[in-house]
Amino acid sequence: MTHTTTARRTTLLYLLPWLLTLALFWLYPLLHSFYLSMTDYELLASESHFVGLANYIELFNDQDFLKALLNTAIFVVGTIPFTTVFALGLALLVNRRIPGAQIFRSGYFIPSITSLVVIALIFTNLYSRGGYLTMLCDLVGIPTPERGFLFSEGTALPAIMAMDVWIASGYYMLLFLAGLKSIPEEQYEAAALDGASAWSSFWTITLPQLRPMALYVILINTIKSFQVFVEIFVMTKGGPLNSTLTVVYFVYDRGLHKFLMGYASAAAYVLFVLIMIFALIQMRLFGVGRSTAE
Amino acid sequence: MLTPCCFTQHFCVVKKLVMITIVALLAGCGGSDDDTKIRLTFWQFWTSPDVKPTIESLIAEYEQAHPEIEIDLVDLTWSDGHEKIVIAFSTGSAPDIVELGSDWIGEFALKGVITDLTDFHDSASSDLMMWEPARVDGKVYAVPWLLGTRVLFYNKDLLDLAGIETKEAPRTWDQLLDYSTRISNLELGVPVYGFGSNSAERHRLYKKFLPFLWSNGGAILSEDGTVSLLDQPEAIAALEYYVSLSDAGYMESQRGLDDKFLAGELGFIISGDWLLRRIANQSPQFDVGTALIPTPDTSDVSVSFAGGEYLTLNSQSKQKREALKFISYLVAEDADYDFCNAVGSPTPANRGAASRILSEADSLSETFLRQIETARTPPVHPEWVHIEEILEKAVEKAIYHKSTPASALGTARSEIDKLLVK
Repeated sequence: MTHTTTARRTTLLYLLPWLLTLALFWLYPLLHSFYLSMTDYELLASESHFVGLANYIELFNDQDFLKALLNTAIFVVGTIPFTTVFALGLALLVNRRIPGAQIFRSGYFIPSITSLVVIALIFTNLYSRGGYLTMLCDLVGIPTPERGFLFSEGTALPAIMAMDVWIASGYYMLLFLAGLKSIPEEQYEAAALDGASAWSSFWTITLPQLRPMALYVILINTIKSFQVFVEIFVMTKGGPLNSTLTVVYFVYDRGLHKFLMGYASAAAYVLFVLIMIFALIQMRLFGVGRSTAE
Repeated sequence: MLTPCCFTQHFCVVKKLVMITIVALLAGCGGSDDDTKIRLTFWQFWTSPDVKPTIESLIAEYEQAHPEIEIDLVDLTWSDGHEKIVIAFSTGSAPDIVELGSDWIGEFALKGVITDLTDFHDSASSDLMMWEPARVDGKVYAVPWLLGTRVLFYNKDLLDLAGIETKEAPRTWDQLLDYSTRISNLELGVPVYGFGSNSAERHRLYKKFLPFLWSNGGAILSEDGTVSLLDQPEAIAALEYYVSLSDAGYMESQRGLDDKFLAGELGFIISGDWLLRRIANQSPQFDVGTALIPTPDTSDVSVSFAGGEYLTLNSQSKQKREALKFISYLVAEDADYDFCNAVGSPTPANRGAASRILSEADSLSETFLRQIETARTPPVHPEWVHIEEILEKAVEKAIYHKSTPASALGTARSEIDKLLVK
């Protein structure tokens, strides 16, 4: 036995727990659910049949699914720019050497380490008809929806989106902060010597060097936003009138509430493909790999 | 947002695997115990510190009387208990005895995973109430344990202020609407409202509409279950009335309505026994009354919504006789009485326990026992989850004024009929 094969075996042995978990809880379900998406499998049913693409065809004729797709798209497009800009703004603010910056940093990060269910319950109260937000709006004369924010068709989804921006900004702020810390101080000093304004050094030094981090932030956030579920489950269950129905909630409802596992798997695969397409587009837009070539 | 392990959307399958692992581990742990004992597993939902000790002591008492039996208690939660039960049955790892909500019995019975208990029913039918949700295709699959219904709670002080001198609860629909409007029009400094109406909360809204439908002689499905009757005049009139009540009232989630009622700012709400417990704990600053849900006319029967907790027997269980004996112990008068007292529910399934509770009950709880006598459960049907959703969406559309009650129910009827011919 040579030295390298022993080393390789040791490595493999160390990796085994992770590999096994990956195969058992990730890879196998992934492949199996692809198979399920082409069957009419129902939980508790004694048999299932292969139905080919029938589930996928039915999905695109299902008004609820189309609505879920639209709502998810609105959610993604409506939250990501705000979250990213807020996160970057907060990172720039707390990156300055000001007294108490640490406190602000932890403060903005707290929502990310708080249970999402707890936050969702708190916001359910805030948004309710007798809640503080309604009272505040009444005080300054902003009209509020008659049935409370979460039970009015027009405001339910935006209300959840706003909450989500609030939760997520702190986490991505931390990532941007890490990116900011890795930019060498000398570059700013050199720029200052050359008489560059704060604005132009932000534009030419900070932003380009934050690019990999920005890509990472937007990518991860896109994937997470496409999968929005807990907020919906706790706050509205897709209502009122389907105005907050999202794709993952649809998958949950059809799969675990109505037991239509085959159909739910097909919906999950549509989402999977969508997320993949978006991720590829974003990576292309940000020119992944370009920086290494430079 | 999902946790990293649920990075893909296939958490369902992951859950299944996790369940298998957990069950395998549990089974592994059990091996070391005394093998001469008969072990029964019992899955149930009562985890609160008020109730769990009572269940445990009931079990301890039973084990003492039957030394050959050992009962493994496993707790479920309402948020994912249903999924766990489904997964356990579909992987063959379900317990001997499992507690089911009344509206779940149909689906499990129709899949053949729970035991036909018709013989038990025939011997115990008169001791227990509310067998209807357990009856599937002429057979009985579950044993009623604890029941629940909805009644009208009202604020006597607000009635008085609105000039209803008798302070008596409304008995007819017209009275309810009239009193509600009068309370809503009161000028008291703080805004008060007449009727608390449920907003579009899933799996809740339809339960609030059904008493009006049923009290008006309407039904969701025909007697033989072949067609929907939702487009019949009785149903349309009921929804029209419900919409007018909702328009005149204050719309919130159930939780929000209960809070507002306890704060003394609502005249009427339809609520369940959980509100009794909150009233007992918080003793609100006004005179509370409960009454049967109003009917179109004084001569009509008030038919409320009922549900309950039922005990079922796994059809794969190897110790059905012992398990059934334990079930019959739990639903017997003494055990059911203790259990209901721990829960704070006035409506046990056991008639003996119910009359004992009635003899001790205050006027608030008494209404529940009168209401349950005529209350009804939704029809048992293989497509019920879909029917429920169609019905609820029709009510939703009507109270949000997206369509008229007649057209919302007309659409619902044709959608349900399509399911029924499947």
